[in-house]
Amino acid sequence: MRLLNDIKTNGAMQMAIDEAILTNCIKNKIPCLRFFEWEPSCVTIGFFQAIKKEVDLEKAKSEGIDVVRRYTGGGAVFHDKELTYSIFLPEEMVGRDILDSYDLICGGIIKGFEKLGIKAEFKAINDIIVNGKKISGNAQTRRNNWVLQHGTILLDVDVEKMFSLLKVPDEKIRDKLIQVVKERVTSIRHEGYNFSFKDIKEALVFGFSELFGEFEQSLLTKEEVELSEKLVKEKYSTNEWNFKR
Amino acid sequence: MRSIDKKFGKMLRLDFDIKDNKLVYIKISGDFFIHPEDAIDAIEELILNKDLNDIEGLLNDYVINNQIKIVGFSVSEFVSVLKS
Repeated sequence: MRLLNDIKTNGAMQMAIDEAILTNCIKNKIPCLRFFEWEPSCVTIGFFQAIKKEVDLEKAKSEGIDVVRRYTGGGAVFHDKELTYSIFLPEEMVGRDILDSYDLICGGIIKGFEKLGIKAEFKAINDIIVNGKKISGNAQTRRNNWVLQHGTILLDVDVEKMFSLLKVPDEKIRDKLIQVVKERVTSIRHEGYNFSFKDIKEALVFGFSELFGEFEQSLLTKEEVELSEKLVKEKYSTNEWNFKR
Repeated sequence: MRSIDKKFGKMLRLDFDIKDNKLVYIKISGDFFIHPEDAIDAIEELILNKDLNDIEGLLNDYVINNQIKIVGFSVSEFVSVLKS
């Protein structure tokens, strides 16, 4: 299995890299794991979400924050102080049942947390919780019997900033909603730990390798780089894609 | 426009118009999951201009015949929103 070097770049490129790797996995049949950071910070919306209903686009623009639609379903996420991973596995390794496969793959993260001394649990459909609060959200897509699951591990969280960028169904309950999220979401820092991106990454590599086998360090192939650049230009940076719903 | 929270806390938002008991406009959005994702376009096309009473059957057939997996709401819940 390939373990790619960390990549720190913008949201459109991160989404394009994920799709390019998935395309390559379908062709070359080699599972893959990668970790990345967002530069600049980015709001991603789920495949089925309507961008104008979810994100304050003017605010995001004024703050220099990217907004991009994901290849996967799920909700809007503000990617700021976090570690993001993507893992690419054949269905034969994780099964065809969506809910069971979230449980299985998130198990790698939970094993990684255990190595760091953090007790975490899976919460259906696609969350990981610590002390009853969400610390990781995850999303999947499937193509040609291959699964891409990507997700976040919150190193720190700024709920006020997050809600300055995300729209809420009813403005009258914004303050209440912020309070509810503060009570339901946590981070590595909020739990009293001071682990770095590297610490968490190494623990997650351990956790995933316990479940899926050893990884070998690797780089994006020339083909993946070229397809990523093409996908940024023709898909992830276009209004046609981002404003589809 | 109607929106609801469903099991697992996923949001299904439907923007729609009905005329003479037919669905004459529909846009589905939310934080649910459909596999494969592109099926959402086919689903919207499938139920557009159809009688409300026929939609549940059409959707159930489509989901079964095309092995579509929906996580976050059921076909009956979807139809109940249209009819509410």
